[in-house]
Amino acid sequence: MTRAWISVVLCGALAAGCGRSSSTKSDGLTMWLVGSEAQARAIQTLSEPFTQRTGVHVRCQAISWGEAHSKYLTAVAAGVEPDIGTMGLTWGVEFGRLGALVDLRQAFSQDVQTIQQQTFPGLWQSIEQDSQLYGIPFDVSVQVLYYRTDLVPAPPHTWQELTTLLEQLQQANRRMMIDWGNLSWIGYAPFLWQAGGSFYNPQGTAPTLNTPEAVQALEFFRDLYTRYGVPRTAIPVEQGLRTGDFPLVLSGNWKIVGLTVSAPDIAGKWSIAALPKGPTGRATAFLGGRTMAIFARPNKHEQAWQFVRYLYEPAVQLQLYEKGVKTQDAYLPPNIQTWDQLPMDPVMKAVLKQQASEGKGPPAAVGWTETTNVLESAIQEVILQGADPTVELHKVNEAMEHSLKSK
Amino acid sequence: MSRSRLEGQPIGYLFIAPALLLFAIFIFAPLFGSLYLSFTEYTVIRSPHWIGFANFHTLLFRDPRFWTAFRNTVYYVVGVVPTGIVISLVLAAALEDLPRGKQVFKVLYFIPTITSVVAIAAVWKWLFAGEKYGLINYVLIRLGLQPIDWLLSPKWVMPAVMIMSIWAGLGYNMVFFSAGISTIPQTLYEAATVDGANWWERFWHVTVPMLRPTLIFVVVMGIINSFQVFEQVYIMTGGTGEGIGGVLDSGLTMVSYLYDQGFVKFRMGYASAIAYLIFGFVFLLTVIQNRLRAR
Repeated sequence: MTRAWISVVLCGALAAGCGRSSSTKSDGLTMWLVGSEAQARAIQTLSEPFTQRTGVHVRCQAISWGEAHSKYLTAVAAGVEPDIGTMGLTWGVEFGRLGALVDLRQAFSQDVQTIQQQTFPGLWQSIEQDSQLYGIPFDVSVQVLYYRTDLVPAPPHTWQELTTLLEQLQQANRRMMIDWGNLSWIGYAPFLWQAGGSFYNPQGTAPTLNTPEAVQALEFFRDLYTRYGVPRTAIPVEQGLRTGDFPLVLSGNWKIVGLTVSAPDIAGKWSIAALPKGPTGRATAFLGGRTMAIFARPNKHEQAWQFVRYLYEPAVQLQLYEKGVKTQDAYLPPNIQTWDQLPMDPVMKAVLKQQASEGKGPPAAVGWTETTNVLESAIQEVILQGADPTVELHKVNEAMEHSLKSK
Repeated sequence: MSRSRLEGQPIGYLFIAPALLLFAIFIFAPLFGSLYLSFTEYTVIRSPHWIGFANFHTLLFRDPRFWTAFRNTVYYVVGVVPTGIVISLVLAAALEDLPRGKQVFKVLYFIPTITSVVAIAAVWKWLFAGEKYGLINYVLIRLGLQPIDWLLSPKWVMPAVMIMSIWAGLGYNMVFFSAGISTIPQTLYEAATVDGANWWERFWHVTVPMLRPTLIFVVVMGIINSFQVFEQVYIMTGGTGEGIGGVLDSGLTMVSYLYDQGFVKFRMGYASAIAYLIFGFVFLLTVIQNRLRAR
């Protein structure tokens, strides 16, 4: 208990300390990057031409994913925010509602229009709500299907083909693995969308998990575990693919670099494919990523916006990606124009582009982040404890409704 | 101590002033601050709003997650404290009898204690990897047993955390026992040997009774520390899906629930109330232990 409170004080002191150093330096911009130290250094280097062009200095600091959310919140509470911060896709809506972030749609509407046209629509839906926009995309991650080309004759194109393939593989003691989204709503999401369901109605005013589509998707997701042998445990992707015990893996695009680096012995024996299409004929994948937001209080909105725009330029994004490949920070650029020059296997690039274009991110609805744990435990109850999908989803729907109204 | 002696040494106050000041700022102030917050609703962004006993009422009567966390914590304490103490006591006694290399083994067993729990838990997370891909499961399979879904099955999350904690805590307790054993007069052992006692008999009839004060201290500290288990749960159950606590909250302990409410959901008032309930439980246990010791 005392330990926890010491950390409260320390957190506060840290946030205050960092902030003070940034606010006294009134001549430059401070950016907090949620992610690795290496990527923060890369941005620091990339900011040099910007400084030459505009005379504005930029200081980029890395903060880790684990503490980022609390660090932003304490910084906002203490009034020591950075000028720019990268954050998780749904944080913008949350901090924006607190009044901590600049509504970019309102402040820079013309530029925003252009940026929106240059990026993936599914990503945009996760960050804009009621014509309020508290950040533009910084990078994007997408789910894809990894498969061993020597063990899987052809990647499955439909749910039906997937289950048929899994039955065949099972006879040879091979299975599929779900890595990004294992036993989680992130794993359930693509199946929900592929079945024609959604978390909320298009206006974000009512949850829609009490629909037959949502139930159908959860039953399919459950069957992958209970009937087709997807492990209910955590197994390293590299190991599973290398041994061939798991020639099919649902994971995130970052494993491409991961596999290249840590499993060179199966180089050329694996590839990626789009997710199998659901009953709707769509292969919707889950999109993750970070946004760049501008904090309202420091009042250097114009300069900050210039730097944010600079980081969105294809040439800069390309350099950031190239640096990222070396440090395993190779997240995909959100600006579609950048993709033409992306140094990557053309087949894989085509798959990633298709998945990113068709993909969707987490819903931007009010009360969503507060109820994800309810949804998560419902999914686990169904898969691990054999609970009834319809009953569980109705309970989740009620909780989501309640959370939506209480805000 | 008489009044005149205190007045004669004003310089003493100066010496303890820095420590006292730090203690006041970083321990006492937050302690009372959180007591106040436990009666409020506080989201960090807006100032605290007094709501009386509402937090405590909700926690005790309307929050099933809190009771899940309570049950898991008790399970953890019961699983870790006795086992850990027995193993480290036997180890300490065995080490004393080593003809050589005593210090080397002490250092080896103590290394986990000075290693960050976060680093240890991260490594154990790999050891606990599923099916045949984790070292522990590999050994189980080799022994002809079934592999266990350690960190993603509601039944095994807590035992996995316990096994790691027992291992990591061995060295700490062992040092106390070693120190205690070295104060036991050698003559007692010699007398026991002359009477024909073997190693186990000497351990049971000489070492254990003579270590009673150390044992009580280690038990009390063990329970207090185990009640506040956090880092290992945070690392080993985090990253698998939504937040902290593992599948179906099977690894949710009280401090991790406090963390979830306070630092993830930012319900600081509610988290403070949890903190004071934990304090209450630990206080109660310590009082009971003191009673038992006095008898």
